Amino acid sequence: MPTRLLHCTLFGVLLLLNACRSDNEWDTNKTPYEPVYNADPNTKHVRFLPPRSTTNGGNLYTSGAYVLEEEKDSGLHVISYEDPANPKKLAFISIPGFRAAAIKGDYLYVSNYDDLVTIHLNSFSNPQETGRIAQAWHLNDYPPFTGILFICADSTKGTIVSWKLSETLTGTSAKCRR
Amino acid sequence: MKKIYTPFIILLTAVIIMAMDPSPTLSYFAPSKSVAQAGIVINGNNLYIANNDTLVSYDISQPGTPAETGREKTGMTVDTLYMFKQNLVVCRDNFYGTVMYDVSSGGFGQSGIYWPWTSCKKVVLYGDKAFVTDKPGYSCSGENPDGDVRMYTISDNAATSDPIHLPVENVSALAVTDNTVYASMESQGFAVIDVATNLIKTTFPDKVYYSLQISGTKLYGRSKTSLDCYDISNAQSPKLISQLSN
Repeated sequence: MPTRLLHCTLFGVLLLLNACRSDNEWDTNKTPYEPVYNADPNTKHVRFLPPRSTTNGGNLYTSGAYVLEEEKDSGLHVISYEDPANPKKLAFISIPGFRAAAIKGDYLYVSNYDDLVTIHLNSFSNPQETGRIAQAWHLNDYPPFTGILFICADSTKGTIVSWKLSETLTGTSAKCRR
Repeated sequence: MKKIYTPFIILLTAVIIMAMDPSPTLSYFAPSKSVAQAGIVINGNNLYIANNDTLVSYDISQPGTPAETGREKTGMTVDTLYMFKQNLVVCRDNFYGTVMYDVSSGGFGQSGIYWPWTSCKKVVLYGDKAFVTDKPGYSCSGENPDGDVRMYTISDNAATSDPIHLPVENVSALAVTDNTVYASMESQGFAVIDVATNLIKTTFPDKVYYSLQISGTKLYGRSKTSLDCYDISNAQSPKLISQLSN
């Protein structure tokens, strides 16, 4: 009986030791995630500008004979295909932090960083912002992945609008992990 | 004596093996995760977004001023949203599966529908078919990741478990209409596939698109240098109408 008790105790101790994961076991060669905060509140507005070149085109949205083409992170190009053989850029809707859009009828719904903004398109001739829901989105103060290193969130810098793999920091500078 | 030591040695070996595992591992890490990444979905007078792990619905019957009507916790950060009939399809981060909510009554009801894929690079629904492509290096349907297009037949509450593989690879963009799949491949260009025979009808080897969108009888493709417009009145013989350079 004492031998069994000894073995059980030893086994329990081994299990506890196994549960104590040392810092050295995290691979600090991995690239950490870092938080991106919502920008200056002054950029939380939509502007209707003259057409411009596409530099980083993305998703396409259609409404009748018009195509809205994503310019990543910055807005939408408005392109008329009323004459499909001669398409024409009409305008650029500047939407800082743009990620997503949906169209219903004459209304366009877009993300402007973490705000949900409604734009009345008025046949694309005179678009107007008609509604804004502030901070419709937010992210947790940790990335939605496990087994990773990340730069700890700092709430004094604002609301987190993105987690991205760092292009400049290494794992040794990451104090948080999950 | 031997009886006592055998289980002890087995357990000790298991503990040692566990201790040798260097760190938690995960097969897929997204390069970034942003607010609104799951998109904005409109169904009738309802608009849906995913705020972190919570679905939020808005009434847009007054389209200029959306009014919040409901919230539903999903338990995990949401990666993708789209509609299937009157069901909101919700894919969760880290490939924690797909949940579908019956939103026909305005609330978030359980749909009872099961589909065998989770967070994919792209899912296109057309009629009773679903076309899915993997994220790079990670399968969204439990099969080996291969970057091709898998076609499932869907019914009211399930999808076929054995998909048909379309003859394309490293697909960067996808659109479907009228028994025809348009798939752009990273290295072999743009292919037009007949769904009924699963054969490539035509290819445009020098055209690589990163986004494809159909509107009526027009197909729009975004390449690195231009936005191209095709007439697809004859779906399997697209004709290039224009190229709007950047």
